[in-house]
Amino acid sequence: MSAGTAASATAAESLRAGLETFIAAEAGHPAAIRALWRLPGGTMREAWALDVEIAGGAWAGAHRLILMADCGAQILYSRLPREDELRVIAAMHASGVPSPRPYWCIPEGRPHGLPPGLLMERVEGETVARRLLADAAYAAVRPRLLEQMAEALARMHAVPAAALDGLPGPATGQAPVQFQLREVEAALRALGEPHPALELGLRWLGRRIPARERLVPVHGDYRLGNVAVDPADGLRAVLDWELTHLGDPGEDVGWACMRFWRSIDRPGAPALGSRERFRAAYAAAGGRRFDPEAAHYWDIFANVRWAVITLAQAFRHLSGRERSLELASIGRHCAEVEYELMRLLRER
Amino acid sequence: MQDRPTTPEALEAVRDFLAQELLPSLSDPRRRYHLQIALNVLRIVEREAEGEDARLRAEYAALRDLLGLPPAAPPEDPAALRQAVLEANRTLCARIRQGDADAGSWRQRVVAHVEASVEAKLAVNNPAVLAAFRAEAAAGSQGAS
Repeated sequence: MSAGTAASATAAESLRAGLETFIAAEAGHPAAIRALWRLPGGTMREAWALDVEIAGGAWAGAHRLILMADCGAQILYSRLPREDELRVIAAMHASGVPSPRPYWCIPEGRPHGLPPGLLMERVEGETVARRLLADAAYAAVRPRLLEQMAEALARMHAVPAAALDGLPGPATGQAPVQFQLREVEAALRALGEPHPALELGLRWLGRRIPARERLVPVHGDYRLGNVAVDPADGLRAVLDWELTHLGDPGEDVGWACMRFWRSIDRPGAPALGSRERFRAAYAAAGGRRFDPEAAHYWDIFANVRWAVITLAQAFRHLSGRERSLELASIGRHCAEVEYELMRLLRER
Repeated sequence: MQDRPTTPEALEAVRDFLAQELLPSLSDPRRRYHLQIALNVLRIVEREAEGEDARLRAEYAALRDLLGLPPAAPPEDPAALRQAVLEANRTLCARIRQGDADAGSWRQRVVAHVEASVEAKLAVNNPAVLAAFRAEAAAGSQGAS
């Protein structure tokens, strides 16, 4: 057994013991973890899968869970504290938005030696966009996936903002987009490097602030890649709720349709369907109608925000906070996003 | 003058070793994924190594012209050249922020300059994506009635 494997085996063992004690305390009955394994992927949090059996009471039975353990990565400005993230998931789950069932929050202070984090239902399903777009296994669900994503988003935006009091959002009277623009701009300034394309984008957005619409819960990273899809049923859950905030629904609509994700049709490059089809399905499911000018605004907003995030990810590595080849390489994706931004600025 | 292999040749040798000898020996998907990222970064810097100096000089001249500064010889030292381009870009950003590029003929010049700069970056970072953009533009204009 290599040193690395031995170390991770010990880590898994102590995690198992701590989790059993924690879960038993929450459920009020003994808990036995039948299986525990580290999940690949995710630059921001450590994810562990666990199958646990609870001996009695309200939680009696077998549960397939996921532990999202914080690793202190505060890369994005409006990332929710885990208690709020769990509250969001609970509200969404209760409102019929496809989402994992929430379980428990592990607080700071290393109870039973556990890292702080969240326990929630482990939803089975594919998340990798490349596979969902190309693999034969998903051919049956691909035709409807765009509609399912639009419908889930409309449901999410129908959850009353009042049910999610305390989430980050605009000040009274402040346009939601102004709140977001300030955050994006602050993140860009913090990098201390000149990006003329992004300055053009920010200036353009700032001079065309949309009228304040009804405030809705905005997912903040809604796209193919953050939904779990079953090869027979299609979309089963929306994942990664940590960037949820109160804002304009256009933030999520523009983000989901971004060229970078490759999930929306482009001329000569078909994918799940057109952005018009997405917006039509969103409106049919009760979401807002976006006229071409509004849709264009949110397309530009999405690309400016994503461009700044790519630079911030690289900066996280460069600053030494989290040395990672993956983070470093993301900085070189900014050019593609800026190119799309300049193309969009030319359009109207 | 340094001996061969040149920078791009050395990078290519490293890249070939990683792709042809190391990658096939890895079974862990996460390791393979990270190695693919490493290979891609190497391809980027190989493309960049060739001509980066000339590109920076051209950007320096274009920025001075755009900003209405008198033409000047760019600094010889590579670090000083990079710093000079950085400063010129900062000035451009400041002027955009204060609204100078909101409309009019200067806006057209700024937009054209920024488009060209972004395209030059993308040609190095991901030429396949740049080609895709161009193909889409061609397909889009064919589709338009």
